[in-house]
Amino acid sequence: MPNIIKIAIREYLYNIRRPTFLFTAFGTPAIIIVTWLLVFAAFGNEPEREPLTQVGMVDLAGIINPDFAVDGMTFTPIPYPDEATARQQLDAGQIQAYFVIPADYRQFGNLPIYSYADLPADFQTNIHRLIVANVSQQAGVNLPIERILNPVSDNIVVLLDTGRRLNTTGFIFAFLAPFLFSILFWIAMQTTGNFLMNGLVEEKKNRIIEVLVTTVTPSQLLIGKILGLGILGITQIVVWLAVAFFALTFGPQISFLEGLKNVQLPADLIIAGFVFFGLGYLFNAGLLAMVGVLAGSEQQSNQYSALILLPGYLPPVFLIVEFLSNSNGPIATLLSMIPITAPFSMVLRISFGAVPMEQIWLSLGLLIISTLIVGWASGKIFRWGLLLYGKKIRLGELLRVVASRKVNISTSISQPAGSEA
Amino acid sequence: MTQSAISVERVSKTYGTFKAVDDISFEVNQGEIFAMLGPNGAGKSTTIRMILDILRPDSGKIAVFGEKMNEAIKHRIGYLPEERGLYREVSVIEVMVYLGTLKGLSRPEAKKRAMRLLEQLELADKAKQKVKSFSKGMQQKVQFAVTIIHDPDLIIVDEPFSGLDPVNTQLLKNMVKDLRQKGTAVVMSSHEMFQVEEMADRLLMINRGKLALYGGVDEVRKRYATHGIIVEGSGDWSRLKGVERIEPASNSRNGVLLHLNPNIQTDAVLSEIAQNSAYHISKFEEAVPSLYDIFIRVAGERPEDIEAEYKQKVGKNA
Repeated sequence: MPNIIKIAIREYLYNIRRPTFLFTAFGTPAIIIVTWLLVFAAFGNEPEREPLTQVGMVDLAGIINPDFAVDGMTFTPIPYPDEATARQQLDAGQIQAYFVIPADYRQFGNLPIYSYADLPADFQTNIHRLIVANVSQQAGVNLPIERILNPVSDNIVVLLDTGRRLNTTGFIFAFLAPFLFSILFWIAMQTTGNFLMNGLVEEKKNRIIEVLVTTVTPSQLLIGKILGLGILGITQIVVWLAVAFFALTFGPQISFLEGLKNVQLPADLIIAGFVFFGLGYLFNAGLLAMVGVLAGSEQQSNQYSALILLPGYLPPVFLIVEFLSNSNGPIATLLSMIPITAPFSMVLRISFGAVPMEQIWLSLGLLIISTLIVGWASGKIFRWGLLLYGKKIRLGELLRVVASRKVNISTSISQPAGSEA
Repeated sequence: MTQSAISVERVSKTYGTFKAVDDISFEVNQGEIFAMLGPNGAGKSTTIRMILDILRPDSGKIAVFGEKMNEAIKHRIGYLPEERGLYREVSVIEVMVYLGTLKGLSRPEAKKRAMRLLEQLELADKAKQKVKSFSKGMQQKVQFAVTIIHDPDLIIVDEPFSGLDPVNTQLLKNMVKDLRQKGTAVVMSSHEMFQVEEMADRLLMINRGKLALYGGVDEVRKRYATHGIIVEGSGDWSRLKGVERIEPASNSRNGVLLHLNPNIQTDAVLSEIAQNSAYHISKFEEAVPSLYDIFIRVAGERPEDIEAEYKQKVGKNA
């Protein structure tokens, strides 16, 4: 088995058991699922209330035609000439409730309801339906009652180049889903990138690194780590996608999550997520590996890693409105081209609207080229800095290392003043 | 004659203006314990790192088992660096198995050997404990085990006994001797010369990057032996027949070193002491110099002074 694979397996198996990883990757989704199941169980077991069937009506405004049967009502109102009669019938238990349409209804729209018990939720909807149906029938409107009550039930934008369909209803879910989707990819990328960096810090701090580099080459070590942790990140995303699939399949059965039925996780978005965030991971992994070998402590490295990771995340998040309102506008387009912000921005743009294919290719190209440059430079720095300890590192020195044709491992221990590699 | 395990030919390494290693040549034979001695900062670790291809020499040639360093050779070497450590958050057995597989062992084989070594080191019952629960000495023993887990033909151990208590030092020394018995070449560096002088077959002394002394331990000691004896007891030693001058013996508490006239045999001095009632002895031995004494004679300065000077320089750098 090649060393790279052995190292990758070790990194994967070691980190997948870490509490930090288990919590972000499995704990959070597990909590979400369990909560939903509890909610589902609670709502599902609640007995449905019997709708009212015996309802009295006092129509002083003369709006309702008692002979006109309205579709979809749970009751047919029993007309009474005045409130006193209706009240008498209610007290006698002949009816469960009655409502009054006052003479001045047209002016004020008040509609009192009388009952001894509280009313089921759909009672008012029924009255609403009754009045709308009667009024429009009198006005001669020739439309089914459903269309009058809800003229536009769904509005779908079909993107002709990718064939994707975007719903405009269920807006909050439609907006949140791609955003959360991008955030999850981002978290996976960030977690694994930080594992890479802190793993190196630990190996240097524990001084095991010298044994490692006399056994494998520095590039085998670096590539093995990036590979193993990359697969770890993919594992994390696969788990989350499975949870998302579960939520989208079963979520709409819960009444308050009905909006989830408007959420799509289309294949092209998932592919874009893997491609862009995958490259973003490689890009950041190169930078974080450099920080890992050069930083003296975990604390120091975490400060630097924030400097590396946040610029890719903050601009698109702060400018989220730009992406939402004008996903092909200049700001969103620019951010999706700059390699650092490209993964997050491009995935957001793709999920919010149609991105011209040539822009996707351009962004991808720029990202690949810069990832290669970062990988090339970080490979050199990595080799150079593996055994350096307690040395203040100047930027100029790093640039010289990157510029040099052949880089050797440099050491700082057992070296007196004024010496450099 | 068998091929040498390591051959270092006129190797030099400079850091900036500091010459860490200056034109050093030596060979390490298979099946011998080879001591690399010298004060801290003399260039021992740099030399070792060049042998292992971690650092590249500025000039000179290095061959291990007759070849330039390559993957296959790396698997035949076990290395215990001076600056050492293990993964702390995983079990001892896991670290050993991982490093063993990187050295080319299969997982089951690595596990089997790791357990056998832990038994030898009296740590077998703690195999599943996390490394961080181990004391420093225990960790050092595990690191030594990792160094030899793949049955290397050559082990290079940099300051292997530093920080170990006498019992564990002896345990590791015995394991090193066993390895030599099996034909393994052992390179052992130390700034504490007494640690290795009793077990090393040959030695290399480095001072300030330069080769100070190189050869068989017995041969070197003979070469630097004074014609003299060390005695403990009472009497006016300077008036004894055949004694040219006396001085306190450096590696004995109450001993006196008697420098003898080249024409007189040590036996004759002993019989003289025995016959003369003015003298009384509790101890009598041939004056074989310690490696420490030899170093001072060769280098013209004491190792601890050199180390102090070096420490000051490094301290400024940090």
